[in-house]
Amino acid sequence: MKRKPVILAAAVLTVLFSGLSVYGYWTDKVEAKCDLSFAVPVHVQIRGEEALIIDMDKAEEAIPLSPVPEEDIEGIIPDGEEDSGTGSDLNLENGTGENTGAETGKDGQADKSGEPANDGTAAGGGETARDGGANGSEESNQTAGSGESGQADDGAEGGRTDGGAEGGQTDGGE
Amino acid sequence: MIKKKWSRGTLLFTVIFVSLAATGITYARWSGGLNVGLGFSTGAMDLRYSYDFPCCVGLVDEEGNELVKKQEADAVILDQGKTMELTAVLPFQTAEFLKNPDSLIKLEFPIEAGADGTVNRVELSKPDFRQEPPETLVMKPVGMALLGEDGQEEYGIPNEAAKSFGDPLEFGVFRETSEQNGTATGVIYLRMKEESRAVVASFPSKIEIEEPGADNSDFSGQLMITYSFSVPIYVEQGHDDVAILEEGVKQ
Repeated sequence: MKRKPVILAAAVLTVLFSGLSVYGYWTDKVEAKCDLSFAVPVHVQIRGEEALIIDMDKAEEAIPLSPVPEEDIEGIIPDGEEDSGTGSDLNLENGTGENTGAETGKDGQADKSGEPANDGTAAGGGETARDGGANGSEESNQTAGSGESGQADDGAEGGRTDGGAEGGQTDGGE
Repeated sequence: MIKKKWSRGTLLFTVIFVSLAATGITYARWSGGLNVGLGFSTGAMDLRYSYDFPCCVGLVDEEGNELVKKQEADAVILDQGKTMELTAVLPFQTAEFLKNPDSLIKLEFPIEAGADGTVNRVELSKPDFRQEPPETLVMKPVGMALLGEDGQEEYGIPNEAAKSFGDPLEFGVFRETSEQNGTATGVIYLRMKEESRAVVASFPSKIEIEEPGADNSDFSGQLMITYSFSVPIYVEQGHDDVAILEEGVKQ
């Protein structure tokens, strides 16, 4: 009597495995690996130069710009190189002028930017100019090239300039 | 002595076991006799993907009407016909799934008999779309491409935007074995689940790309999301008058 459940279980298992075995022969399967694509309509907005433009007013708040004493500039730029180094058409007096960009740098000329101008003209980096690097930005009427963050090699060496913090357009030396 | 070694229960078990074995052997012989005598078989099934007919992908409704005309898919058959890698050439527009909640992706796989099988008749079956799908399939995104208005130019997708489209989609699976072109075809229907339809509906409609140096521009594009999944296709022996083609036999 004790063995009755065991026999029953054995019988059930036998039938089960037999059934599965027969089903294995009865059916067959193949495998499909699929790649399906779905197209989602989207509106694409590419923001290029706009991302580099900063607000003039905000820039002034963030980075205080101070006029560069002229004697400082004279002290830094060696005699004899002044002519070649100041080949820029920037006007020191009012900080205006047309940007000479890369060509200026290549020629080994240094642009001296003047004081920051709020009149919509170039606001080149004062310290950059003091180092003799080419400076200025094509976007100068919109951007504020920061003198403090702008870096420039010696303009006479074909100065590589990143003319101003946001004046990224002005890799004039290269 | 004998009574100690062979209890009544053991004896009973042995008798039943031997009887079952004898029954099985007898049945096997009887079954074999049928095979010979009537050509009626419970033999082995061996299926292969057919090299002779194309695999197709389309979008249909529950009545079988085409919502998107079916297209021939690129298919690579591997593993001696047991595995197929299928790539749909044209994408499905997600708007179709939102517009037609009952739309079904239809995948057709022509099947033929392999060399190792003894059966070449299959059981035809129809899906019942009124029932809840018995299986669920998860599609995972494996690639994305942002195409411009012309459908050619490709743009990089910002990571943040890509994440918004990275959720897997779930589909209910219905199966069908039908007869087409005189041969058997395994058909898989995929119905997008309600939750996944909500995911698709929540996809961002705008992608913003910051690309220093590029010109500012706005245009209507398409984000192509490729989903990958694997699904088995089962076919049973049957008595219907549909014979799957034997391997290598062409119409």
